[in-house]
Amino acid sequence: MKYQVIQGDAKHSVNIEGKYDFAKTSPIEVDKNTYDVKIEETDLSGSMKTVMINHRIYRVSVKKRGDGFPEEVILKGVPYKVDIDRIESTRYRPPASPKNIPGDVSASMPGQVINVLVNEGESVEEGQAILILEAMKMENEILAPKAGKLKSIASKEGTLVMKGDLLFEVE
Amino acid sequence: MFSKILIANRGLIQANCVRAVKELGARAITIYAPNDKNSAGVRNADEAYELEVKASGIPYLDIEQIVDLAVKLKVDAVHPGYGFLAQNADFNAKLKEKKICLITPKHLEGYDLADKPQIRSFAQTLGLPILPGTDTCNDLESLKKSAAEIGYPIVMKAAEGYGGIGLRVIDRESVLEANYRNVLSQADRHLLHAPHEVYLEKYFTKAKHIEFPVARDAQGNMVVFPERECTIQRRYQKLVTETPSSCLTDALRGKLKSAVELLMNQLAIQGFVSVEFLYDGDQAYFLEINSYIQPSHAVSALLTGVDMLREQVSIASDAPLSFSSKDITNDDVAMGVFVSAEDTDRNFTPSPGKIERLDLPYGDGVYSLTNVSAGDTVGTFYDPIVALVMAKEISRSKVISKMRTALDALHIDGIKTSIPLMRALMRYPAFSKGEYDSEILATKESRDAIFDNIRTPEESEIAAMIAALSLHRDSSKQHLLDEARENSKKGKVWEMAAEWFNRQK
Repeated sequence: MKYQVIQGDAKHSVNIEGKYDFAKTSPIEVDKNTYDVKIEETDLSGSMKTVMINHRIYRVSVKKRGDGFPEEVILKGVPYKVDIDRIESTRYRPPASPKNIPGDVSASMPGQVINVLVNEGESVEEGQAILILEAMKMENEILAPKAGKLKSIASKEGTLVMKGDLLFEVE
Repeated sequence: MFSKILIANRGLIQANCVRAVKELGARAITIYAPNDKNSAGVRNADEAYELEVKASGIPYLDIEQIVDLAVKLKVDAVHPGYGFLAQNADFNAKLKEKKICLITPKHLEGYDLADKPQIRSFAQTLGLPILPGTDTCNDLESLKKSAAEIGYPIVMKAAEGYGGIGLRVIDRESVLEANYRNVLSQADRHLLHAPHEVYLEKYFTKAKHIEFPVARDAQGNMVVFPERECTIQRRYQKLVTETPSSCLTDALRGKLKSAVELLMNQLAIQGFVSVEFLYDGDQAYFLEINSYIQPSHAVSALLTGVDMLREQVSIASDAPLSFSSKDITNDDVAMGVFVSAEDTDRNFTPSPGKIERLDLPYGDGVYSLTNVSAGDTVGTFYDPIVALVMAKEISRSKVISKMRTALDALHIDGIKTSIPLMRALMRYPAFSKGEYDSEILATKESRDAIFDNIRTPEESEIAAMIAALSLHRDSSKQHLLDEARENSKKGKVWEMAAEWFNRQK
């Protein structure tokens, strides 16, 4: 199968054989070069972690968009933006991207709410800072995921929150 | 010498203090919050006591509890490490009352090293150049007036701040008030003095940070160590330290060393401090005296072979320094890279999580310090530094090249770290040539430029391939069939069956 991968101004054509064998070191063509590739390790969620490429170990991670398409590859820690433009003959049908952005925001890390900037019931813009969460001596602005009315704020100034706790909701 | 010393800190400095105290033949006692029970410092101490965690607040800042413990255990001295209570006047006074020595510099009566504006004006009277700035002040209107006189950008600092806490760069008057409130609220949470006061200084965007570590004993013997350059920072905290600095001329270095000696003698400092300067390429301005042992001290220790922690404890007990300036004769260059658990792609946002795997670099001339190991969880309540990687060589270019290999061999899986950015920095021509300033990591653009420099055509091709392979794998699910086939070939299917069978029993 042929994949066109766009990286800024560059365009790469990647050819992975239909019979590509994931359990063995197998060739993949990129433009005019051929690489011998085997996925060595995957993480708990099943994503690639280390890949042997031409006898060299690479640590990789792939960030995916909502529809499952890769948007960034981190190779040995260095980020590369990617965009897969056109695919010939693939069975893959990506799910439609969600239309409704959820309005509830929970803490992505444990910390302390040190400042609440907006009152309940006020209208907010998408990306507006709602509150400041401090973790590891650092202040993180937590932003509104979409425009709307601030339905509720679950935390007050000084509240200690754990990862996953609801912070606020926009409707 | 002291015979019993309480080490009132955590992490790397705790472990290092425990080591130094034991080497001196004293009893090393330490404290820990419940989550830190398995750390190296706690395991290696002669005695360790769990702190009671009160509703809100950091147990390592609980003065009452720590002083009570020190009294109960009849210790002679308390080592505060850095951060936490290292510069706390209240803590010092309470220990003094109980006749326990806090290992912090002694100095001329009437001065307070943590009172930065006071020390700044003292330095000025000795003829040291200082930045245009103000005295402490807690009146918004006069801050506004002074800021306009100095000219924006300015930096606002909490008078007793340290390690970037209570520090803001302000580029225009309209945001001064908001920043002032922010500095005060941060000071409230991290610094125990109250009421809080701030002062202003001119902010130089193009500058390098230089600090001279210096030790002076009760007898008046003094050693000024080669200067450290700590220009590479984020949030005003060091990420790279090198010693000596490549940016000073011998003439300027000599001048600054004399200034440091003058300041130390005039303030009659007994202890280990570092004297900080800001160098704008032309003039070096005195900034402050840091009264606690710095995280970067390990890099100076590597360069000179002097065990700075051991000397610090020893001179605090009125013993003389065990070495002199003549013993520091080395022409090498040492470098230290602090590795933090942060997402450098998202403006150094903390990246807590579980460390799945940890490989430290090793080899001749390479040294690593860490206080975490595989399986540990990096939390969010303390400093995000997880390791310090150091190297020593005969020249700066050689030490940079050694550091590249060292960082390439350093792997911390499971959390995001600053390792990739530091690897890229070590390959960034502007860094190698010394053509950089303290803004080098400040913006997304500047960090992207550092990454752009190391992207090779071959590796972008490989990245494209990985993207396609990932999509191919997700869409075909072929890998599941392939892996199952391989497993059955290897007889793993029988192992799996046996395991299943055992579980049913």
